[in-house]
This record gives sequence, structure tokens and C-alpha cells, in this order.
Amino acid sequence: MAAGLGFKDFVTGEVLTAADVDGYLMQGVWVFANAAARDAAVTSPQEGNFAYLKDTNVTTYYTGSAWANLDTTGMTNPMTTTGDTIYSSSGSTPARLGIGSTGQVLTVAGGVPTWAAAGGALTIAEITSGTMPSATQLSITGLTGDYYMLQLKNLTNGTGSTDHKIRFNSSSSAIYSRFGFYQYSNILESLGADDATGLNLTVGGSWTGGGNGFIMEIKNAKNAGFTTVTLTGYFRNGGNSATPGIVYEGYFASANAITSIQVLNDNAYTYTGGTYKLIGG
Amino acid sequence: MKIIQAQVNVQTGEETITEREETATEKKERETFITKQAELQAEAEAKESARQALLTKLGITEAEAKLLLS
Repeated sequence: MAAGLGFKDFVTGEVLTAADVDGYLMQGVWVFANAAARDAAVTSPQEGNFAYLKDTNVTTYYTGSAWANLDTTGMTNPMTTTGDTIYSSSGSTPARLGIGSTGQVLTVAGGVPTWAAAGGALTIAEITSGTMPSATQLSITGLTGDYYMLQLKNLTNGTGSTDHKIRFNSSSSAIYSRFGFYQYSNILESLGADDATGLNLTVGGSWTGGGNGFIMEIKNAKNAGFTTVTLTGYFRNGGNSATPGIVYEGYFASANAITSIQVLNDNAYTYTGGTYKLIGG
Repeated sequence: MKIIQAQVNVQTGEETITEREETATEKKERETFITKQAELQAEAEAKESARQALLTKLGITEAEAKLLLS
């Protein structure tokens, strides 16, 4: 069979040749009983030829190298209702996703899109509080939230001088990084050194405890990636006329979720007083 | 030195106390801190001695020195 020649506007008196018949008039959709009948009749198909097969009710076309099924190369529209969207389900089959409810957002569940409630604002509430136990460390465990605020007040540990610090997940091998400043002897000093053992709440010297207060804000505690912290504190320094304050921001360089917080001191002294409170959500 | 850890589990409400010997790492950290603290204390005491010596040399009181610097 000849290849299709496209379109021609025949004029009055024009002689219709065999090539015109094959190239123009025979280029419609040929009807055959089945594919075998088509192949027997059209032994030399040309690109662009069309044939309808009655046994399967399928229209086929020749690509230049093979017969292709026209009816299945297009996508069957699965949408039925206003707001529907289409996604590819298993085997790249088009699937319908009906519109969600007002306020819902598109998310993923089981590898396919789905509508779900939007994430709301955190509900912050008290998680635990109490007096500092007679111990060298306090560990608050069982944490599952993403945001916390730890408040410590009036920590005392007898007469010995020490620095107090916070650890996450009892880790003393991760990087705790901070930068900020503290007041010492009426001047401001910078803080910048990384520490593997924890985030200090106080700064060396002859601090003897008592009359202090700290708020540490802890963000991104649940998600993968670093956890960030902000500290604002005040602690009495017994060796100086000044009463130091401390302010810094920092982070815990670990991708693990925070499941516990430890309060301890560098000298492993036993706490003799103070309160703690953890709020969050 | 004994490490006494008080644990508060916010899921169960359980409060427990465990006691153990400090680890080698904890001991090293503590000793490093004590050394650093002693150095800072010595430095502060040296500064205080020098300040007192200067006041004596000048023959003025601390209040008078503050007045001069104000």
C-alpha cells in the first residue's frame, strides 16, 4: 500500500491516477475482521496508515515500524467530579483523587498523594516540674515533642563551686556549639567554643550557686537535623562584685530526635536545692 | 566518685534513682574542670593582690579610687 500523500484539492477535468487513488483516496481508516486479515491485505504498510479491527473494536495505526493501538495510547480520563485530580497509581494507571475538605493539604501516604489535615500550631503545656532531687544528675526522659522550654531556678549544690550544664540524650560525644556573651566583673565576655560534653549554663570562676535562674528554649527537637537552643540566664558569682548574666544561641549537632534532657554539673556535686520545670509540645 | 542520676520519665511518671561509679571520661572532664577552676581562682586572687598593692602604693582607699575613675 502506498504511503499517504496528505491533502489534495482536485480540479474539474483532472485525471485521477492510480497513485492519487492510493495516496489520497485510500488513506482513510481501513476496516478488517482482525489483525491477521489486515496484515494479509496490507503487506507493506506505510507510516500513517490506519486500520480498524472489528474483532477487538480497536483502531490501529502504523508507526513506520509496527502497528500501534490508537485506543490505548491516550489516557482515559478518570475524573468524575469537580475538584478531582489525577495521579499515577500502580503501573502508571491514571487514578482519580477526589477533592479534600476545606483546610486540608495535599500530602503523601503509602507512596501516593492524599488529602490530610493541615499541621496546626503547637499546643504548649507543662510536661514536668519539681524540686531538684538529691542527686548529681537529673535526667528527664520519655520526650517526644519538637519544642521545649526548660526553666531552672535557684540551683544549689552546697558550698562547692561548679559549672552547670545541659546534655541531650546523655550525649557527651556530640558537638554542642554556642555563641553569645556573659557578664563577668562588670565587663562582657564572648562565648564561642564548641564543647563535646554539654551546654554550660554558667561560666567558671568561683560561683557558689543559689539565686540563679535559667530559661533554655529548645527547638527542632523531634525532626531529623540539628536541634537549636537559646539560653537566657543569671547566676550569682560569689568571687566578684558583679552578678553575671549569660545569653547565647547554639545547637546540638546531632540528627537524632531529643528523647531526654540531663541537668548536671562539672564537679559531679550533689544538688541540694532548686527547681526545674519543662514545658513544651 | 559516685554518679547519682535521678530520672523522671514524663511518659510513665516514674521517678528512679540510680547510682554508679563515674566513667573514665566523666572523671577526666571533672578533673579538667577542677584544674581550670583553680587557675581562674589563682588569676582572680593575683589581680586582687595587685589591686590592693596599687591602692597601698597610692595611699588611697578603694572608694577614692572609684571616685577618680568615675
